[in-house]
Amino acid sequence: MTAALARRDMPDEVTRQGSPEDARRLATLVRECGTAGIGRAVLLLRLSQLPEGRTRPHHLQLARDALLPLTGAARAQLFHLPNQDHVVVWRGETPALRASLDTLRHLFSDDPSFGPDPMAIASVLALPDDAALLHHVIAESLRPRTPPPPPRGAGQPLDPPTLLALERAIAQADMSRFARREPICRAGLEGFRLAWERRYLSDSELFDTILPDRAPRADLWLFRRLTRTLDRRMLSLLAATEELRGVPPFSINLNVASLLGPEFLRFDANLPAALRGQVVLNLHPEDILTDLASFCFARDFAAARGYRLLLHDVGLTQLALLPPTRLGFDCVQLRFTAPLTAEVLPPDIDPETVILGQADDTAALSWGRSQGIGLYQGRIARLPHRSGR
Amino acid sequence: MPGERQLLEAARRATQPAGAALMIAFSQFPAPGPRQHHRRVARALLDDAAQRHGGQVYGMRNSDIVLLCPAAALRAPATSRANTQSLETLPELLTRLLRPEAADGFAPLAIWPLPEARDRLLAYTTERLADGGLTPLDRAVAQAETPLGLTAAAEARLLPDLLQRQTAVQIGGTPRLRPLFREITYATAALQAEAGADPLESDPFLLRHFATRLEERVLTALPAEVGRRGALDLAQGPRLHINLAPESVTTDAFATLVAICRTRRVGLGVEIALVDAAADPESFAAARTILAASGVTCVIDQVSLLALRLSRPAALGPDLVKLEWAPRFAHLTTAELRDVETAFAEITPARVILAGADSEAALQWGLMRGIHRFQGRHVDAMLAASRIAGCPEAAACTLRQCIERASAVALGGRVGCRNTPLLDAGAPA
Repeated sequence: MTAALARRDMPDEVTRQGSPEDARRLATLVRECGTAGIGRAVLLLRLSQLPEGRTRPHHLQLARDALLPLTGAARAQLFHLPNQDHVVVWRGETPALRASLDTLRHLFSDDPSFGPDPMAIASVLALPDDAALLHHVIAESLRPRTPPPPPRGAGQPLDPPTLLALERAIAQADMSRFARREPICRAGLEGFRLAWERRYLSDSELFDTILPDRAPRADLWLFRRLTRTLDRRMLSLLAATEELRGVPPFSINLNVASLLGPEFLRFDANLPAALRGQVVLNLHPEDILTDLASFCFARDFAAARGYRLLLHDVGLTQLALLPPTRLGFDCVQLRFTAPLTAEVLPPDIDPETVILGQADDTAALSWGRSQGIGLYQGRIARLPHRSGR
Repeated sequence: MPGERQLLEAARRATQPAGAALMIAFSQFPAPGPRQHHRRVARALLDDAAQRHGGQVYGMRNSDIVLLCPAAALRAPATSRANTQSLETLPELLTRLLRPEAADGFAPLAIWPLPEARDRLLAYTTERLADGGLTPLDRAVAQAETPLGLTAAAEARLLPDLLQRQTAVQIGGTPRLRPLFREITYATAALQAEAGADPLESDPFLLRHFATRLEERVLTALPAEVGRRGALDLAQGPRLHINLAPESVTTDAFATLVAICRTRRVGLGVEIALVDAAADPESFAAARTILAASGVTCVIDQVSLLALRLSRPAALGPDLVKLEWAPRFAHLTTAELRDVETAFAEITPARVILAGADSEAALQWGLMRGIHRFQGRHVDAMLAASRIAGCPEAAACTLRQCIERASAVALGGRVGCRNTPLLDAGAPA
């Protein structure tokens, strides 16, 4: 289950491709059940059969999320097939099946384009009896399909003149409509509790709006330069009088140069006393390594002013290369990916200082808990939570 | 000069007990001087202290900053507003922030208790008024047109004009000075000069972008130079090292270069900047695999003293690590030395190249720690001296000429040398 579930953390365009490996694993399982006469229940979710207009990323995500209750059933395994179909296999009866089916019914029942039976995309099967049907589904999922249209933003990388124009546009645009918040939650026995919010500008939405035919992230260094402009705009948004009144603790992404810039100093001067010590600054590895002397200066200044520093969005390789404690970080956001489930946290990393990022499903949560990690960012941390620390 | 005049007036009035002046001597910072953010942040901290304790901050035209305040303000925690446990005072904090950039023995702060040291403050202020502010104030940050300037500069210049060569050597063994490889690098300084860009203050990201583009141009240009006996003819001289971003290693252009090197029996090394490897570890892992499979040396480049102390280059599993020499290596504190030794224990000195070795002190420091690979201006001079000693055509050549011709890639830079095979070989066989 873990590998299949874990793949859901991938970007949507990747997720839509599914995994041939999952198809092979499911085929093996179906074959073994047939050979040994092992009984298993199966829910087949045929997202490949969704009508056009219902296959946007959020539709698919909602449908996939509807399967989550089932993943807690006995011996549950989730398979994501290459054609978007999903299969959950488990042992015995579970009330979660009803929960999943109800969610799916509500999801599609009000759609007139869907046809007479919205539940036709979801079938409950049984192994070994339905082994032949499942083999057919697997084979169908592996057939080559018409290549999907390129995702938005899959155009040319930025070049310096375009970058300059983009910076000017961002400097003048109303950025408040791109401002977003997402929770960083602490997982406990009673569920998730808000630890702090990450406040950021949605660059993907911004680029889709003002530069849809370019791929600003394709050139790492020009993109990083662009983030300095975004930093300034984020800080200017936070400078509004009402913006920081009565808000919970929060984090913001910054470049080192931005942390030492006049906009941040104004932000610092105006930070309400109640938030002093409650703000986390997220820094990126490539940024700090670009100018380590400035990073050290910024780190010491930020610490003196009561900010916590977070090494943002790193994998295990980066964690080994950049030991957070040696660099003076208070915490680190580790990016969850499927291969991580085969790894363990390095012994010199205190799990109390780790936020598991892109934790979109129970596989992430399960691995995080096994490592002693208590803080999560991602879809799983967007479940209803209680405010306060 | 309102700051100086206001400070003079305030100094004359500073007769009340229990006062203090704190002066940050930015104008006296050792070369290359303070960065813009040093002054900006220090000013913010002084303004905060002045606001909390009833003081006044004065900016001098020579870039110094003076805080007049109650003496108690300098004994209080620097950030009492902050929700932290820090009890560090403002002078302690400023000294810690500003000292790492300063040379040994330089004190960035002066504190004058008032009214006892009022004469000292008055003398200082009078000096500032007299010198009229000889040091300009902050330059404008990051010219907006820098990207366009650099683009134009990079596109307008012929590739050889932007490149240079430098040979690394092994010291010790037989012969005592043995060329190991010749690195083709881009002359960032030439590009910056052309565009009027300031590398650190304005835009290190932009320069990394252009560096990557230039490296790609080198990669595609090298095959055409084979057999032309020019400065980029990889068939001439020792092993070839080029700088690449990890993703460039996965390109067809690199595969072509590897094939040519194999045919010509030329050793090849790829130097990947630490920051590039850290920025994209997946691409780096793929690059390292390709390099290992191709028999190409993988070097982690641009590892500074700070990077050696704060990161673990050995975690990337390179064949070699290129450490950038700085004079500070000769005066390491106990903690710094401990960090360096820890890093060396992991990397092993045998896998370290000490780059930027511009003095005998660098060589001595490295040799004492078991390093035998060196690159830098001092090595250039040693190689040039050995070439001149062994060259029948060198009667009219100076050491400097030989160094410059060996580093030049553009044809014009090699003019005057009548023994280019020896020039390209690095040293007599």
